[in-house]
Amino acid sequence: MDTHVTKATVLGESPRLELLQPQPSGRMRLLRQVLRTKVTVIGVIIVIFLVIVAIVVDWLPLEDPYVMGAVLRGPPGTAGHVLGTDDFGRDVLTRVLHGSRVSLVIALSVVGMGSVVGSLLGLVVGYTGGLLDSIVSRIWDVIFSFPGLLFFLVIMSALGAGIQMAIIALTIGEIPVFGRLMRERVLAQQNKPYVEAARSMGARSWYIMFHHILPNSLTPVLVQGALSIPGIILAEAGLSYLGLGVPPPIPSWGKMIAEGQNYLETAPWLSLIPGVFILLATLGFNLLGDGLRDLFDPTQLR
Amino acid sequence: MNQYVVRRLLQVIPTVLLSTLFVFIMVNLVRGDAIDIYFGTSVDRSAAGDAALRAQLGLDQPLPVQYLTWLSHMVTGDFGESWRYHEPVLKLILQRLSLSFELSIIASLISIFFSSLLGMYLAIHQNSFADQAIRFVSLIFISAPLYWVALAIIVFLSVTFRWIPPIRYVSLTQDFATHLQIIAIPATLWGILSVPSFSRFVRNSVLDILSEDYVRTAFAKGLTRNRVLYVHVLKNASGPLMTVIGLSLAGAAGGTLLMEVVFSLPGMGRLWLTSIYQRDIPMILGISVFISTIFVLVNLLIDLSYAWFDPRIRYD
Repeated sequence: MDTHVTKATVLGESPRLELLQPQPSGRMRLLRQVLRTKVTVIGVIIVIFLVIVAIVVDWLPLEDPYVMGAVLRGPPGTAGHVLGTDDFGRDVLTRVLHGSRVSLVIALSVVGMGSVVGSLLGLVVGYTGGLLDSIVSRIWDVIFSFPGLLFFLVIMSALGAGIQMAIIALTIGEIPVFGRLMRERVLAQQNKPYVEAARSMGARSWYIMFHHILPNSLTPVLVQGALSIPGIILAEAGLSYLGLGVPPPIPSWGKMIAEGQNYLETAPWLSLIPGVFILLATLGFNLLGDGLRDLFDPTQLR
Repeated sequence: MNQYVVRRLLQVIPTVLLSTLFVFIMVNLVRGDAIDIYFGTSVDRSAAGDAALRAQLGLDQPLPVQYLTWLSHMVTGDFGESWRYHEPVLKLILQRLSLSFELSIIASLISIFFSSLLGMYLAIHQNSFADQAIRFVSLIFISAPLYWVALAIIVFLSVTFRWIPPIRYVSLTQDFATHLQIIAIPATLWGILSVPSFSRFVRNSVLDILSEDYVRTAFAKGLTRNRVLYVHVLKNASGPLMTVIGLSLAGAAGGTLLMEVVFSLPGMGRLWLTSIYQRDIPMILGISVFISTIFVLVNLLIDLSYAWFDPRIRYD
């Protein structure tokens, strides 16, 4: 059974029930659409903000994220530290902003590699079918049957802790997502007239795959890419929180939460502030992904 | 049906074998020299001692032989000996299992109960204020790291009620009442935290039922709303129920690990993490296979109960 909690299934629209409720009026529907667009705009603003921060953080008038200070665990506002200082006297604001770079770079590289490898694999097994298709599909089923974090832990326990290992583990988890998407897409496109036309003109399999089906399937892959990012940000933060992802002293949101946990009673902001940024980032990408899906793929997963 | 059960049961064997093979290959691909890992930072080594140890641990054999030896020992319940604790892996796992098991069962029960009630309520009162509110809350909860939400709640509890998580752990057999007190808060917390998103699943699958023909017919016959809901719909709500049970069990297994770290409880998740930090290879192999097998079995049970509860599903 597929037990992955995807956002689409949680927030997805469901069939309306005329018999129990009055249908929303035209004006209400319009209002909801406008709200939806507004919400998407909020998501876009958050994402743009984080991306800009991640790019320019080195040139911002901030302290060095690795330089230790004299004030340990100073509350927000002490001695020019807007968000306070951590256990080593390092500026929390600087570290949180540098954390957005770490988080985004990992998320983007995972989506990049996962989508390329997954789509190609899905394309090939979907088109060729047969034994290869059933073996690969079976492996994907096994991967999907593990609830998110546990699957990554199995891989991380084999690979060992570290940034590269976390990226590999997250990518392995992302490959079946794109693989399945592409495979279903191929199966649906295989009997379309344009594919039959190409085949009747004597086009080879690989030509049909890469010149006809692949270009016709890029949009859903892009939308899925946007929808995958929040989950990857959360999983990376979770692995780093457990001490398996980004190693110290590199600033990472999940690791910062873990480091602050020892001082929960005396300095709660150390754990709480990085979490706000994780929430902000995933929320932003979630809203953006929803908007993209509505824009490009209005029929899918509503 | 019987045929399906047999076929589904037989599927378990290749799946478990596949996962053992997968874990074994992954560990051996990246581990480097096992003897170096065994000794860690210890300097007290000699070439002869290394060779003797290699032979003793069976590491001088080719990898396929190592795999088959490991596999055949595991079938008899011998998971090997931990390199760090120097005790049988299975014994260490079983010592920690009960705590994780209790935590996930309590958390799942809480989440199943409240998610299904709330989900049915939301489906019946679709687009009401409560529905919109839960929709918003579930978006936040899906976006937030839940261990962080748990930490925020601990901060809140300690500021307002002066409650702090107990530092010393007491096992079930030592003092039942204290033990229950210690695990009650983490388990309840995880159960409650998963309710907003899971209730959305229940809501959507109940709505699927509500749009079925027989519901329309019942309304068309002029039955009252309550009669349709409580007699016709509830009887057919096993699908949503199974969905939420599956989600809750799966979610609680991952959640238990996080709650063990948040509340520093000595469960199986913590044992797993420690063995990863310490590169305790027999332990890593043992726990990974143990947990994968549990998951394969849970999925099996869920699939079988789907077939059992919903005779419309035909598996041929």
